[in-house]
Amino acid sequence: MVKLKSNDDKEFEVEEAAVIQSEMIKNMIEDGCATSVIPLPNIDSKTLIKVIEYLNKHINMGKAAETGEEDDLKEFDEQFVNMGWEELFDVIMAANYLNIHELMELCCQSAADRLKNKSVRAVREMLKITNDLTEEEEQEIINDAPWAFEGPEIDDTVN
Amino acid sequence: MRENDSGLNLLKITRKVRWNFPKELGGNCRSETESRLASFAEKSEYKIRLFKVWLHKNKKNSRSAPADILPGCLIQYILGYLSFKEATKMSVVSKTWFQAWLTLPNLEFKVGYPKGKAKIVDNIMEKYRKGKIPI
Repeated sequence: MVKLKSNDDKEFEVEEAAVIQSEMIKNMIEDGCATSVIPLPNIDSKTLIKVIEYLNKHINMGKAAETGEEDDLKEFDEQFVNMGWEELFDVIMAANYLNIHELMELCCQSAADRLKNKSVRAVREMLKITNDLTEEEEQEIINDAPWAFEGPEIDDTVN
Repeated sequence: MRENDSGLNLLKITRKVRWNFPKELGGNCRSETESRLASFAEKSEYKIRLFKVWLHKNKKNSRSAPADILPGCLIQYILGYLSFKEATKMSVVSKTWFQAWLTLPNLEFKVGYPKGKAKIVDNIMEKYRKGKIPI
């Protein structure tokens, strides 16, 4: 068992087999620096719970493929990324920090899928991004690559 | 003005004038923030002191917009999963996104360029090599 501590001082116990999916923690364990609690100063407990849930589910990835439980895992993944943008970005940041490649891939793919075919305005609204480009700058970018802004399939809805 | 709904109103107003206060206060441009705060308070009907108190109170639990917390390298990661055309469209979302797009690791060159344009491809490859940007 490995103990992880979130930045709001909550401790979680995770099986070593699960936690070594994180490249970072795997290295720590190999180097023998994981004897007591591993503090994770930039992950809050809410996000850490999500990450641990993922790790526990994916612990037997190899086995699952043999026993035909792959669909089950797929379903779990689909359910897993079904969260708000803010939460998703928190998980992406945590996955990046902990270096969990599969989780990173899953979340970024999901983010990209949601952005696909959206209009720029919709993206800004969805992600609550303030546009800090001036109109001229914006026009310049558009003029440089007009082909990227063509096409009728632009979706302006926000969800 | 009641305490409770004034907070919500202020949040709305700061969004409206596109002033992202947590980022501002976190930065080291303190005096600039002060002057902007003053001019901002003038514009709104709120007293500057009240506004400052509110800012202080909400400093901790107010977060900047979800995508603003995402560093450029992670935006790039997400853009990498989009088609090149889609990613290019996203480059006008904001400055951070444009920067991320500039060094996007997956390039796409269509064959069949007229001869003269091959030089453009050369230039781009050169830029990536110099910047040691992985493709």
